[in-house]
Amino acid sequence: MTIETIAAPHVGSDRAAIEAIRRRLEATLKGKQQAIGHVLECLLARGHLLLEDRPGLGKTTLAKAVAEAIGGRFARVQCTPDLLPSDITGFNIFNQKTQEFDFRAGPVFADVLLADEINRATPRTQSALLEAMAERQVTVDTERFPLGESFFVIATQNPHEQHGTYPLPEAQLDRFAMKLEIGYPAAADERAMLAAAVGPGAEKPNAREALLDPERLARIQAEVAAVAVADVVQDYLVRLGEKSRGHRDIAVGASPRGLLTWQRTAQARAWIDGRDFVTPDDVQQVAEPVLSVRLGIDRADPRDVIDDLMRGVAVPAGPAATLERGASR
Amino acid sequence: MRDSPRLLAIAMAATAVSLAAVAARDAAGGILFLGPRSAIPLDRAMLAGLAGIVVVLAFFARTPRLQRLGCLLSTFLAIFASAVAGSPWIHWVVIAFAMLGMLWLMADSWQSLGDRLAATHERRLPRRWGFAIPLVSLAALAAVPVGRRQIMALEGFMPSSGGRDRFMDSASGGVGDGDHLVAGTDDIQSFAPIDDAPFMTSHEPTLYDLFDDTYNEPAKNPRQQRTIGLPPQTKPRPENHRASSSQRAGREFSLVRSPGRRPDRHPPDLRSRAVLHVKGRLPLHLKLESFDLFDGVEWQPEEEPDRLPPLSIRPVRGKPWLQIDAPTDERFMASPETHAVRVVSLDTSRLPAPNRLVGVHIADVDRVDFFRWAQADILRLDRETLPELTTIHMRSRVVDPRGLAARPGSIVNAGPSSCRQFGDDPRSLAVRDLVASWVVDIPPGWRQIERVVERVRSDNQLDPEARASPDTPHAIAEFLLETRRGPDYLFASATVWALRSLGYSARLVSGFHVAADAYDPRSGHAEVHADDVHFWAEVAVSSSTWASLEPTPGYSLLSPPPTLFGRLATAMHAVVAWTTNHPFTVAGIVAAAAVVIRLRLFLADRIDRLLVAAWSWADPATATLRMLGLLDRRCGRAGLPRPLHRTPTAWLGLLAREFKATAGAAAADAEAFLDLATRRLYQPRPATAVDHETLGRLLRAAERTWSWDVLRGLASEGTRS
Repeated sequence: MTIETIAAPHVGSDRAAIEAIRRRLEATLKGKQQAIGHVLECLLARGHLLLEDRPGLGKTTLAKAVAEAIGGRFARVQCTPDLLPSDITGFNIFNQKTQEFDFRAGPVFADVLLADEINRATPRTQSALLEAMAERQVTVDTERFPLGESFFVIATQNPHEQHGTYPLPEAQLDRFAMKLEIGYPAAADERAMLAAAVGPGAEKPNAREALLDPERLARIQAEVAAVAVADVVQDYLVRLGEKSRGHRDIAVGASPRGLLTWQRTAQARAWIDGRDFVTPDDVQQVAEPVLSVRLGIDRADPRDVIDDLMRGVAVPAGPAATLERGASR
Repeated sequence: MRDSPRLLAIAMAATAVSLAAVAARDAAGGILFLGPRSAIPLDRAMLAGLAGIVVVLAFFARTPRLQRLGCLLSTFLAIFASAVAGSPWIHWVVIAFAMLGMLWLMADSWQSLGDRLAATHERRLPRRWGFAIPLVSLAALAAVPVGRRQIMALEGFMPSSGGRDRFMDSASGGVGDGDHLVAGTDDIQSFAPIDDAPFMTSHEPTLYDLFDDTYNEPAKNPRQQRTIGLPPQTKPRPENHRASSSQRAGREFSLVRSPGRRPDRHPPDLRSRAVLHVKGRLPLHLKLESFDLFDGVEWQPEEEPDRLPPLSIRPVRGKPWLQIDAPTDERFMASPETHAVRVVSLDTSRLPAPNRLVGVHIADVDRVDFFRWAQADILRLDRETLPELTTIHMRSRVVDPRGLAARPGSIVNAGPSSCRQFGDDPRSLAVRDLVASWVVDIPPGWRQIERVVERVRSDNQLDPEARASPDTPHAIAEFLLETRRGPDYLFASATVWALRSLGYSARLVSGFHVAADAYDPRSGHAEVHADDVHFWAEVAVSSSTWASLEPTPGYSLLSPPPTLFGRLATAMHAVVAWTTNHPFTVAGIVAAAAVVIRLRLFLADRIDRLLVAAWSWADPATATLRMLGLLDRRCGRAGLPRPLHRTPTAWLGLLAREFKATAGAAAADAEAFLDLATRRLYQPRPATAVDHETLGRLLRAAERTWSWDVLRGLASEGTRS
């Protein structure tokens, strides 16, 4: 008997595929390993991603690279105040030939949807998109249209330009699994980026083949959902949730839906690390992007508040606690 | 504000510990100042132990959990101590404790409430209620009685010595008297050790029998001539010779007695041969008779003086106390203290009393005509004998030599003239010359008296079997100048005679000496036996005050009651003396303690490791987690405590990266150990099974990777940089 190898044989190729995506994203967006890791977690957790940063930092580049890598259909919506819900969901058009209404599907029926500058759309349009995100379906003229199994939304917004925008309400922010800030690249990465842009083939990005397909992604997502979570870890999540609701700097604490998302992203984190169970370390590593999208943090820097929140709750670490658990089983 | 619960908890602990100290002092002997031979009753020992725990917890009151535990134990200690203690003012200390406890509860709950309230809420102490609640409770508490009887309510909470279930040697209380209690069917004496036992008569040994038992009968020497003249009126004293019972003035005492020892007449199987039981501070001299005139061989009993202090009965705390209103010089009298004497078998009506009696209490004796003077300073009851098994409480004062030493000169010629009688024969003059040579450099006063006692004690040898020669004309001169050995009555007589040669008023006194080691912790009192009869001297230090002197080697006087400071000084002296007497032991203890303190964390780690190894051997299924726990605790001890929000495995991994653990097989094994530990901690159904050999290898690798030396090195590196 020996220690069981951590990677189960049947997930080996899937993990290799995810690793390949990671490498490609890292090549696209240099020096942003952490953000890329979170993007993958979000993808595997069947969550939607909100990228929030200044213009020109690679939000759209990242979103397009993700869409390319996972294959399937990619759609992009540039949100403006005059964008209508039907521009996203699609609409019925009268067919003169058949004398019937035909449904013209909108960009929401893609596998990966990039909603650029989502806070420029009107609340009405926003909520149409958010219904699609939450329910994975759209309703047009009382008719329901289900969306793809691996429907993935990457929304971006510029937090520093407030003029003419409609900030997303908290209820809708909760639909996103994570919020990421990409930030400026390091000097060396920036130099490498500049070097790569010099030369004959630089202007024309060559289309690259997909590394996954939607069916395979859906299977991996199902595997992620099956990653085990121990009672003590779920207790830990619950205590974190409670603490966030009583924290003095947090106006709106984590909701039960928020805890579900948190657990799922922690499962994704564990799966990526090659484990079939979640540790408190997984919970902590996904805490910042998961919490910063849904906690109403009033005054302080959200990162400080989340750090403080995590420091205030002891991890289940004692062998005693675990032994008790073992005895009770 | 943040600190108030802690300060209140410390105040509670201090109050509870002082209550415990008072309770212990009220008990026989007390905890802190027990004599070397006393046993400590179990409940006192528990009280002391609990008090120690409370003090230690008070030191750690910063930790909320320990603070609460400390307050709980303080409360328990206070309740128990207040039930055991007998002092009436303890009531108020208990109330003060209760107030502190209530304030602590309020402060503690206010603080924990404050921690839960959002910061936006304004916090304000409800001052009005904060004072009103304790005041109302104080009023309620004042009505609660505190005292000895509450001990019954605590039965079962704290071990009390004695009791129904078992008998303990060192019991200070409880139900029943253990094997001292004898079922009384035939003889009522056997089961009535109580204050109001029936007055009974019985044929018990008289005082004279006792003296004759101990010192033998006076030797008859028809040819003997008196060498020292007696005052004319004392010569006949025919009634003395007729007086066979002891309520009359006593008989003369001859210093010339038959040699040898009488055989022991007591049956060997008699459990106790006690004549008296004495409770109170020891050693104690109980005076029964005094002698003033001396003719070279015989001492004449002192006659009743013309003016005796008036007697009266006054109630003290509801009990009738006989008050003896003698003029007192407060400058050299110590504070009064109480002794209790129970007569077991002694045929005399005289009260065996300490010197300088100020009050007597016998249960239900509330008439002053029960008491009569037998001799100067010696009381008797107006009946044939003292009632047997009746407790006689006596209040007396000790003459404080420190006060006397400050008044040179005034002691000479203080007492009655009969106590200054001295011979003009050549032998007495020779004694006078000898004594003068002792005190040649000392002015008259207490120092001179002390020197005389000291010389009599040191120049002569105690020999209870030695006797004065039957035909000696002057037993004292023979003792001091020739034989220099003899029993206690010769020491006492010689002291009296020597003091008289210097002009002091001195007299010979007989009675019982209760040695300090006669205290029996089992019964809680000292037993006085027939062979405890003793002679000593008294010297007049003012017109009405006599100070006891103890010239016999091996006997000691009762010192004035120690003050608290005096007790502390005594205790300190004892500690210093012990330390200086055992330098190597002390040095060894100090060195060992220093080593243990210096290496405490290392030692704790070693012990922890051994325990973990033992447990893991016993239960291999938990070995991984136990090793993880050991490493986690080791990090804390080494100065790299794991932050609460970090998992142990993540923390150990971080540290390993920090000190760049050695690569290769060991590092891989350490990594595998972390992986295994993570599974054991967080995998809901750990499927991994590891064989013994691998497990042992992983555990050894982990133990080596995060070894004590490595972690300490990392910690000190961290503090340096």
